[in-house]
Amino acid sequence: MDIIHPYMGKAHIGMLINKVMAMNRFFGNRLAIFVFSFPALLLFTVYVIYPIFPEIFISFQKNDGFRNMGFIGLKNYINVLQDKTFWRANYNTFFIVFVSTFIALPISLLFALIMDKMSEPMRRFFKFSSVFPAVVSVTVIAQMWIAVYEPMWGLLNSILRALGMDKLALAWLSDSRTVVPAIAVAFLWQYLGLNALLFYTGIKAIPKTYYEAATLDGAGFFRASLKITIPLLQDVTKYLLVISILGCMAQFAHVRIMTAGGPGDISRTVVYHMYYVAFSVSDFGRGCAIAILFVLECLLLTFIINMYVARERIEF
Amino acid sequence: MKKSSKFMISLLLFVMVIAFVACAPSPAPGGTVSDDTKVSTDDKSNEQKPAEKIRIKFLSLSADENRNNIREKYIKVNAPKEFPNVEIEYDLGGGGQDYANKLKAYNASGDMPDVWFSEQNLSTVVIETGNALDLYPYVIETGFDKKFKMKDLVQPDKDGKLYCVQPGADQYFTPRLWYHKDIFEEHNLELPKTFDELVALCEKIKGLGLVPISIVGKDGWTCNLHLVQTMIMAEDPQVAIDLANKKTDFSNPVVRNALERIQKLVQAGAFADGVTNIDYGPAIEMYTSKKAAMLAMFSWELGNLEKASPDTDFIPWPSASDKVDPDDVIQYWGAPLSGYLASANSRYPEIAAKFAMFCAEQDALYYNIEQKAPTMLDTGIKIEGVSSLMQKNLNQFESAKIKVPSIWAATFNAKMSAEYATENSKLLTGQYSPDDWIEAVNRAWAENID
Repeated sequence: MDIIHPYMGKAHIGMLINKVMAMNRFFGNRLAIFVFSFPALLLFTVYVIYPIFPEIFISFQKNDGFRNMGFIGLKNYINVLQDKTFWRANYNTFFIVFVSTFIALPISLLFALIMDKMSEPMRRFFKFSSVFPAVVSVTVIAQMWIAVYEPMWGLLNSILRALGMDKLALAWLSDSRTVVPAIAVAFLWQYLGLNALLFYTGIKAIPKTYYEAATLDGAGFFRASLKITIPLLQDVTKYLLVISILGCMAQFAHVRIMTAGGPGDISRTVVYHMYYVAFSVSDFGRGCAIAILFVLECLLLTFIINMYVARERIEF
Repeated sequence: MKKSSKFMISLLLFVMVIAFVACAPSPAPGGTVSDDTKVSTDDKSNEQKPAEKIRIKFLSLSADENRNNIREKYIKVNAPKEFPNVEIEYDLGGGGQDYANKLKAYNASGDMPDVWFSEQNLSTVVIETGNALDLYPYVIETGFDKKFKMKDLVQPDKDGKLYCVQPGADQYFTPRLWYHKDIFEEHNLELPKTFDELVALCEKIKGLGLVPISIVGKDGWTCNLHLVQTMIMAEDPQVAIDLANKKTDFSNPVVRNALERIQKLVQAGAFADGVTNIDYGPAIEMYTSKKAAMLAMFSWELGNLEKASPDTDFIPWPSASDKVDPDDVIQYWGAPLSGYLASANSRYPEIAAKFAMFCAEQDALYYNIEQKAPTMLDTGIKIEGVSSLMQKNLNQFESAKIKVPSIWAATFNAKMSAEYATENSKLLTGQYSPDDWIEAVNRAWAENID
């Protein structure tokens, strides 16, 4: 018997080739593709695509959620665009997006670069610490930050007072100047580690030979990171940009639990404002108009990211 | 590929059509709503089956101690005796905005619980949709109306309908300024009679390292329920009466002065730091644990405060004008649509109506027995062993010459309540001008009147 592989004979190899071909035939079958994708498509259609249509209709109506009180054309849209709170909510939302993109993501990347250089036990600890806040319920995280920000006995103010900085000990969640940044910190902190972990998996996929060549050329950690790691991470960066920007845009739970959009309407995000208008004020027409405008904002942002970030896929 | 694309598109269209049909609103309940007479025809056929247990659903608030006690210790215990053939499903709705959203969701679906507890501003939403049952025929038929000391509470509206039955406890609830006698004695603090004295007192208490007045600041709760009205009445009660009767609006100069007084209190440090985030429970706890010297709260908490802090006493809110004697003016909580309602779509409207009246009676029993508080609904219970604090509260209540209903409870619709809460929450930051408040609230008020 001719030995062509240390562990397998000809017959075994033939069987393996047949199996691979059968699998190719199976996955090349359009019906199979359809059968596999149908459940997801079905759910997506019923819960995502379908609700958009009635929402568009309702946005042109005077509607309190129970009754359609007539078609009013663009009035809801005009009211929304003239509403100061809607613009404040947009400002708050984009503030969180800005902090996420230009502060939180670079910090995550820095953590990932540091993690790559850590010893194995430290890395294991770091991985656990990174994932932990992301898997804990938002309610728990929000309550924890409420306690941190508590004006009289909260951790933050206690530290500030202990350091003799009493004047900086504020009512963080009740002061109109600090409430939005305070919520942003709580929200971004929760996902900082997870983003770092995703960056880290991207770093691990970069072939070591690039770094070996760079080392031979005399490049240090910072130069290698700047010239090799960051450029080759553009697929991961694009993914994280889309996920974190859209996640920040849809920010609701932290605001609902930590301040209920307050004081007053000062910390509302667009999604929270939409919820408030529809459910608290019972103006579903205006609520749906906000929703449609929000969908357009999200589409525009996604379009911009796709246009300008990582247009071509990198293959190692 | 084309074939399979066509197939997929057709299938998705089919799914969308199915979803559209499934999610379409159910037929308006109006058709059955007004048919009150159906009670004695259709439903009797259902009710005349002694062997079968009828099942009804009851939705109640479950976030405050009083509501939980009424449900658990009275309604649940006594319902099987009163309704042996009825099985009651208890639906716990939480409190505040959660309860409001749950009730609104039921209302939107048209599938209301058979009976539920509701405040005025939520009741109007359900009534406008046609989902509330007219209880008047049942109230007359059972003689429930004869049990009331204040007959206005069981009078039908201008359309001849009565949608809500209540225990009549609310009419005795009034906002008080509770204080710890021990703290006042220990630090030689004097009770304020005027608003300026109150501000000076707050500054003094703050200097002692205590919170002067504990309030519920989350969603502007204390301001919504009484503080704005209290500050208006401290200068001119007639303006509050005019607002309740929709004869004036919030641009009235007395309202502006009232808002400035609240702002002055905030700036004097009268309330806890971060007050806009303090909820009901923590506000009470802040007072009972003596972190706060005073508490702004309605008299419905009197029994609980007495138990938790035996050194508790109260004063009426100080006046801001020589013309107003604080003992003569009082705000009461009652509203015609705060109480128990029944569903117009109930399969057993007669049972639902009777159960709503039963709940109102159990509610009154709770206040008579547990809180030793009187109610407008006469339960036949003779209230004995009333504490001196409760007696003082009742005496002051009875002797007040001007009694003004709560503007929030009796006048506002859901939209007005929401906007008013938003503005009051901002007012409590001390960084919001009364002019902005007036502009925003008046805009909502104009729509509220419509």
